[in-house]
Amino acid sequence: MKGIGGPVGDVPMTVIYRPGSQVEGRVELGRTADTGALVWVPASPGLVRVVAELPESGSTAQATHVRDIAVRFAVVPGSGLGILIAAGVLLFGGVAVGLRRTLLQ
Amino acid sequence: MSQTEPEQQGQGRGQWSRMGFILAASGSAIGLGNVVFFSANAYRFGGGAFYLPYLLALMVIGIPLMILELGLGHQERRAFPQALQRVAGNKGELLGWWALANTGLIALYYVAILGWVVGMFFGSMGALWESTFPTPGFAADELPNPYGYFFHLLSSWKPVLFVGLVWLANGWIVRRGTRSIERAVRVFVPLMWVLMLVLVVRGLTLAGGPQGVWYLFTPDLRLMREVSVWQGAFSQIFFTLSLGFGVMTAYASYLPPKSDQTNNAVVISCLNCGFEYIAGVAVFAILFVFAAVPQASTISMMFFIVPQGIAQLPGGGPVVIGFGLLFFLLLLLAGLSSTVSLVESLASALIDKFRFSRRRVVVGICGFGAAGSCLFALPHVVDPAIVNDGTLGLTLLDLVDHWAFNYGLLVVGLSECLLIGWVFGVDRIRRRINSSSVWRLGRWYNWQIRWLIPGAILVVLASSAWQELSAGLYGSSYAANFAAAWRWLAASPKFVLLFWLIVPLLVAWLLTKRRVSNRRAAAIGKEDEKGDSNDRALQTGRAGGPPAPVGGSTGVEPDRRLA
Repeated sequence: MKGIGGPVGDVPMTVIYRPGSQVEGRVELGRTADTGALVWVPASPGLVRVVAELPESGSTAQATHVRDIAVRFAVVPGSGLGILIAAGVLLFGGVAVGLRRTLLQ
Repeated sequence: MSQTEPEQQGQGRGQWSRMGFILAASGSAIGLGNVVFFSANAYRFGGGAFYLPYLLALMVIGIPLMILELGLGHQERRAFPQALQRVAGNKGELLGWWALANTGLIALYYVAILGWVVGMFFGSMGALWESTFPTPGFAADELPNPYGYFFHLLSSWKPVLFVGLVWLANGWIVRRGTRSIERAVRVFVPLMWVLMLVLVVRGLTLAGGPQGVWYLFTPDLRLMREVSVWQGAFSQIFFTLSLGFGVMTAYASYLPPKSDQTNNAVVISCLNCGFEYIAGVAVFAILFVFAAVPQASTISMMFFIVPQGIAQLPGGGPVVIGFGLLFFLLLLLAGLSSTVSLVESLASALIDKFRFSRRRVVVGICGFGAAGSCLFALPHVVDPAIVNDGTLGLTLLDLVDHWAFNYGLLVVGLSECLLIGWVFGVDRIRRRINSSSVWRLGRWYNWQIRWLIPGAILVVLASSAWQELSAGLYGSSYAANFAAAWRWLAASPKFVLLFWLIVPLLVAWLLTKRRVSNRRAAAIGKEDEKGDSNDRALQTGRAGGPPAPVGGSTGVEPDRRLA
């Protein structure tokens, strides 16, 4: 993470799925190991905000460090592809049929 | 463009060519919101979880309401207030003027936003892409671009100049009514599509770009159980199609007599949502490639999030400048084709009722509009930390937008469905629409206008009002961040709400009550009868059509068809 420096252990980590949206979901990931590592398998693709609460040096206060990342789809989603095509056909098909009728009038 | 017979005989109303109408109406519907607000809303409600409800809302309320507004204008051949007056008497006219007063308020701040777009367009020639820009109240590198440049622009007087230029452009485009508008949209609308397609190609060819597209279209059934997702989708369709502005009715009043309103509504709605479809592809590709988290607002998306993505495009300076110019030009064209329709809806209503000359009306609207828009372009910094809106103009814009846009348009949509569904009788307008349409509307359409659409709008309105009541008056928390000298603005949320509740209603009441002089009324009556007899002549030979409306309502005589 930017500005953190070297690996830090025992840091509470949180991920926020769809941050800033009305349907955001927050999941506590637990704490980092002494090596500063933490394994996390994203539950769903999309934009995700990873949040780490680190103690500020020389103080008991916590500093929040965030990084936004894009979690990718493992494979091309069939339903997404289907809706992309169906919506395209519906909208641009509607335009084509309607414009043809307009021009024939 | 050929003139109609009524126009030749002095009635003074223009007429679209059929393609001209499609371009003008789709240009009106496709605005800033299509480029950025759709994507902001789609992200806000979960991407794919939002898209299916959105498509359903298009079918259930979008196209039917579009047919109604077009059918009303085409049947009555008058702008919104006069068309409603003919079908529902004075209360209809009151609603029509109230809708236009609300539209006028929206036009004021919409042009202010376009003024900022002009400023950002100039900025994208260079300064916008530097890492920081000196902003009053901030250390040299404290506010990174594009935030720095944007707030520097807002805290200067330049937007006031740009607002004046945008109003001048509006006045120039509507100066000859349908003829000059058609000329402009024949350039603007195709160009908008080309510019957007260039952005789509660029977005999709970035590494990881298609991932954003999968996110936009892959349904998440778990999130679709949330009521807020459906509310968001239904609101989006209502706002995106320019419903409730009175624009579609005014535009349809200039159509030739034998026009197919069902077909027109399908084409305009599909063009509008098709534009959102490709805009969504372009914006979501950029969001994913650069992991940019958007805020659910048009301002944030168009001035911060997308420019941030453009600034990171591979290829360096010339590529970034080129795409920046292209993006802001696209916004300007989309915005102008929409504001022109807002001005025309106001102008046509005033001309229809009072028979003022077009030149006088256009100069009046643009002069008043320029003065009003300057309020939203005021550069005074009220929130030095820019925690909320930053400047006085942006704060006012945010508050007025909340009421006029989020509530005003829905109230108009609900009221027109109730008036036409329950007072005038939707069956009458349905038969009239069917008489010149290839796709016939069945009796289900009556049920849609009387029950389904008002029900859907009521649910959205009630839930918004409930959130309002539970969270406190919109904007009341802003004052905590205002500089000491501006703390008195703490009352501004209440003031704006009261203003919105009282002033448009007062204006509507005055315009409804105002009668034209007897001499002028007699002249209008004669012209209307000439126009209607010409319409009947043009409609001769149409199979199964009802008789054309007889006589004109000028606000002087009661409507004979209602008597």
